[in-house]
Amino acid sequence: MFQCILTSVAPYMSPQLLAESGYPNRYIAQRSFFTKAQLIYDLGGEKSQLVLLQGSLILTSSYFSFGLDKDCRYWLKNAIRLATQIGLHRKQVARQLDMRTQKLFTRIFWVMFNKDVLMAISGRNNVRGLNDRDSDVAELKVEDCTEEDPSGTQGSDDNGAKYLRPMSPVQVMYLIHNTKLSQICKCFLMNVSISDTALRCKVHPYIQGSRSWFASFYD
Amino acid sequence: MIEELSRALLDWRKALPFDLRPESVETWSHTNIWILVLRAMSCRFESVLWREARKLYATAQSDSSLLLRAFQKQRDSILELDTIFDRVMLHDLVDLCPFSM
Repeated sequence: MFQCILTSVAPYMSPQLLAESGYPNRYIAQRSFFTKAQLIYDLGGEKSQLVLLQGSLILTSSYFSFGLDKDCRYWLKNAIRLATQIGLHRKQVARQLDMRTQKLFTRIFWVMFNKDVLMAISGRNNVRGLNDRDSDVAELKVEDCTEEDPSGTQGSDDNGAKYLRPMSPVQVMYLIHNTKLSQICKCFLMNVSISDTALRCKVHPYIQGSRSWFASFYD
Repeated sequence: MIEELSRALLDWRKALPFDLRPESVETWSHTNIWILVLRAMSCRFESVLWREARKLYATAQSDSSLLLRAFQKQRDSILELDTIFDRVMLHDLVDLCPFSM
């Protein structure tokens, strides 16, 4: 996960940090971190499904010209696959876990939900990956985003989580209200989606034609 | 449905706490840039919503005033999005913004 975090933050490196890290530019730094993250994933270097899920979700934030096969779409679908495998989208699974992990699951689910909807709205994905009828995670609350150790990696210090700062109040509010906005976007995708509109445009003449044909029986 | 979604978006905007509104910010930083990101996201969604509305109203042989309204609303949201990007440029915030913006 440490390499995933580095991939995600590499474009924001200060010139001083870049010079100290030994990379000639941010592009090469990001490519290097991404290659390492992908290799660790492909070679099975990380065993924890939860860490794999977190790493995949972090990689959905990166947009780059390399790694075209495994771009943000791939990592989002992978995150959704892992989350479904773990059962993170179901209340009954989370209930069996400690409070800290429950909060972590709730945060991961809603960040994933926001990404899923955003990518469908922006046209990066033509369909959503999460099935809403199958998910019953409770709505995100402020308490889910505030804890003493917000890294949420179950105490493991070897994956870079200890370097993360706690979420600021504005960041917490952003996440909560972004989730609410995504719920509206979800309704849009379900009821007025791009494909639906296209379908209606195409179907309309056929409906008119079949009506005329049906009416001709009574003439 | 379009009108319902538009109303839901308006209600969502009205319900935003003051601390999540651009007018609450004195100096932009990496912690409060999310206010602009959220605003940009809502404008993006609104423009997509009214773009689809234009397609629907154009094919459903509906009232031409609806089509005009959809056009105006789409332009409104694009103008607002443009303002956000102008603000990002003005305060030199590009390197704080996430790529999804």
